[in-house]
Amino acid sequence: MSLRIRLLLPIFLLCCISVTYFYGFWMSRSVASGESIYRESIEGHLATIEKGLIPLMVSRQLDMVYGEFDELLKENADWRGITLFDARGKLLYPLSGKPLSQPREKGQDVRRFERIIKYRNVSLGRLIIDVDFGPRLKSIRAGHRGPRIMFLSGLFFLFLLTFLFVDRIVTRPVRVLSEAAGHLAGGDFSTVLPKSGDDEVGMLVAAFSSMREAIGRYQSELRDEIAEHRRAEEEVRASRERYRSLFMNMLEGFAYCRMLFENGEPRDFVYLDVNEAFGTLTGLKNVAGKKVSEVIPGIREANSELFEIYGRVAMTGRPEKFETYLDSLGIWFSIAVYSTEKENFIAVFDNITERKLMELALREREEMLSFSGRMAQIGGWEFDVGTGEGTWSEETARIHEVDPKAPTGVETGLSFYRGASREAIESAVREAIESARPYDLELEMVTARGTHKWIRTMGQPVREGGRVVKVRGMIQDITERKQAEEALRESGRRLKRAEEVAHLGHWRLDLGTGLVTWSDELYRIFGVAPETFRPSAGSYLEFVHPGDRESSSRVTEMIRREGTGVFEFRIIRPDGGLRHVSGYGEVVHNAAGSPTAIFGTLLDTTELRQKERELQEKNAELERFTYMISHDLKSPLVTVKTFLGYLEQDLARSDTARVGKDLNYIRTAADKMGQLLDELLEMSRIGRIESPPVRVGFGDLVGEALSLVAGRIVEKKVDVRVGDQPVILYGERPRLVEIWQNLLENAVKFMGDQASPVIEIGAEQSGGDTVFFVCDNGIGIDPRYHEKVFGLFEKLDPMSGGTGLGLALVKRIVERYRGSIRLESDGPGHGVCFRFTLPDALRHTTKGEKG
Amino acid sequence: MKGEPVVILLVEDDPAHAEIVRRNLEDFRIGNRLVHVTDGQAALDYLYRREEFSDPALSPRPGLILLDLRLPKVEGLEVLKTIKGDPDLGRIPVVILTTSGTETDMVKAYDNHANSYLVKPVDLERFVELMKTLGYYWLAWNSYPY
Repeated sequence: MSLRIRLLLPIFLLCCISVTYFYGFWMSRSVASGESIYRESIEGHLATIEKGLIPLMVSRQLDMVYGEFDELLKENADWRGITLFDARGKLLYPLSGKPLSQPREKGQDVRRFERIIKYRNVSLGRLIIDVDFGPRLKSIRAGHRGPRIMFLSGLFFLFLLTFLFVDRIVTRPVRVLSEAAGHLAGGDFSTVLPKSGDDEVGMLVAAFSSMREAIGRYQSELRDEIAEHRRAEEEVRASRERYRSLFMNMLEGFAYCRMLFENGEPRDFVYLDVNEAFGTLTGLKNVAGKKVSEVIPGIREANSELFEIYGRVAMTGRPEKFETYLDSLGIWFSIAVYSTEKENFIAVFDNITERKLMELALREREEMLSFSGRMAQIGGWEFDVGTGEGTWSEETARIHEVDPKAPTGVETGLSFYRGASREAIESAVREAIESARPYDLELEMVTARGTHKWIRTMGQPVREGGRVVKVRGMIQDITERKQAEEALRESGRRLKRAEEVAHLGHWRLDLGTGLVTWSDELYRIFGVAPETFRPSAGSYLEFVHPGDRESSSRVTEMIRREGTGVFEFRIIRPDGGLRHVSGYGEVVHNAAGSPTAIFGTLLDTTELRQKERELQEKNAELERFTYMISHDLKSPLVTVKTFLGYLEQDLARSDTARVGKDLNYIRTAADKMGQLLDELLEMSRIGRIESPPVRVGFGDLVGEALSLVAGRIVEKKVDVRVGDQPVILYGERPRLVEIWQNLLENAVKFMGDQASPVIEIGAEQSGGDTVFFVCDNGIGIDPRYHEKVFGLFEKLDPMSGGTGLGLALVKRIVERYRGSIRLESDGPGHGVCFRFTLPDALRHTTKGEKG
Repeated sequence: MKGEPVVILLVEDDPAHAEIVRRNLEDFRIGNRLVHVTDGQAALDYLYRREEFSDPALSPRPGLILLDLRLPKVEGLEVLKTIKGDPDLGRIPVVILTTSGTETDMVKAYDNHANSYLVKPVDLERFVELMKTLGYYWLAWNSYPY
């Protein structure tokens, strides 16, 4: 029940009682009192009427009575009727004769008054008057309305005021306080409180406010305290976790045990608790609660010292640390044991088997190192910068050929070096001391016994507090290596020379790194410089002839696959020169048999090919030559032989005409044979120098040739025009003359029936070369036969004189001077131009002139 | 069967050797007409009736070709190849007459379908023998398969 209701309920009840009283008691009494007053007044009135009536009745002045009664009815509106009976009960009034019935109308409250009219105790009659009380009562009641409204309104306003007041000063503040308290419970301290007055509620508000502040303060203190507490708790937990984790995760094994004594002697012990590492390190599982003699049977016999130590620690509480080898586990342990309570002990241990093995290996390695130092002739040394005193290893002393026990120092050390070596080592040592710069030198030295040695020495400054205090290093006798190196260098030089001579380069492709190295000769073959070109598996392809690039790019692949391989390609050098090369490569394996590199050679076969081609040409020529011999030399022989047979027959038949013919054929054949042999002889001379080379003018040569064929020129009336180019040649004069002689003969011979035969001879410059020409306007040569004319014994016209050697001879001479010859002719009837060069004959003159 | 004498084409640059052939034929009394050309080009011109031989009346088709190997302008072997490579001319029997007895020449000649190969000096006996064989078939009866 709300406070408001509680406060208002009594007021409400009071109101109810007041209303009940007002309506139920006060009002009815007031009406009753009004009614009785009215009745009394009516009674009084009646009594008056009675008194008046008595004389009349006695006197029987009835009409007077009647008049009186009518007047009465008129005067008193409330009177409903008057009825008068005489003593015998005869109705006297109303005159209508009917006793007044009492009709009841609504809102009427008719009351009957009866009176016996007596005079001297004699009844005169009975009077009845009916009076309507309704209007009278109604007016009384109407008189009550004003006070009633006043009363009710008063009550209502009282109630309302009380309600508002209570609400304003009690309910609302209390509710706000209640809400604030609710918020406060929820931790909200900020609810706005009502104003605190000097009444009880105000005091309550003030008290609440101060309580809230107190709670706030207390709460914040509490909070801090809780946080502090939590932190502490967390720390404890973390620490516990850490220790637990340390215990569980520590790499060292941990065992908490109780020692069992028998007659004061440690006999056995029980594992109380172990960590995980225990299992990992020992390989033992589920040992907690078990005796060691169960877990590791025979341990007492095998490792009695373990029991002694554990027993001692368990009894005395003095911690001990030791290393031991457990046979039964095959493990080396490092164990620290301590005791916190008597007869119990804690062992913390580690498996140090690996370390032990390493120590063993290290010892072996040290021995090995010392051994290999001796074997490799490497010694160590060091000296003190301050004092200059030093020490060195036995091997160092051995290298210097001095007594290992003799004292040494920096001065002694340096005294073994002379000349440039001395300067080098002194400056290196100085640098090491002053600038803390390490050094690594290869030097020549002379030992105490005068032996010349090559050594490698390395020095490493040792610093302390920023200052070099010591220099420490090693020394190695590298005499043999140096000699080997020198031998290698020599062999390298020879190889290089050999490669140069043979035009053979070599290369190496490292299969691991992909690095390619070339020998000097290889660079020369490619026409590139090592400074500007970097060889690689692909970069060289740039110089490979485009036609060979694809096959060349697959070479390494092929060699890798096959183990070895040969290949050929063409190179176009940066300067445009074309070279033919052929190469060989093979895979190199290491000791383990895996391929490490490809080693190969590359041979410049250009000259070889040139020679080969020349040889082929010579061979072909030789073949042609034998062919010619077999035909052309045999041919006259066949003729001679056959016609000798005919001659015999003809002589037998004495057919003189035929004899003459036969003899003529035989003679012609013999002549032809002679001519052939002469020219062949001439031809064979070309390759050999028969006369000393001389300087001769072009004009002189042509002049001499002309003089040799002068007869035929004159005979055919040929107009010969010779150019006056000032060309000087250097060579065998007769050979050079033969060129022009043969060409002139040829021109004259094939002039045909030209009406005005002309031969032009001259020289002209063309593309830096001097080109000589001999042109005629004779019968010309069909382009089909242009090459054929230069062949041995080739004749285009079987009827013409000559053996067919002339132009072959010219070609040979021209080639002898490294020149070339070609003929130009637009075909039969257009004449022929022979054009040729003689570079060697001209080169020598230029040289000679310059010289 | 034709009644006309068969023409023999002699391709030979050496006049003396041509004379020998002529005399051999005479001795064997072969009266066939002998046409003599002195180089390979002329031989082909004759067979194909070109240039100076363009008149068919003057260049009857030969029934036998005697061919020297060593010839100016066009070599004998080339001439042989051309003849034997021609479906029409290929049927004409070709006898190689040459001074060269080298095997390569002989092999080359037979490779190019030469019908016979004779090395000069062709002694009378062998020439007669050959002519007999050839003549018996080609010349006397004058019957050749075209």
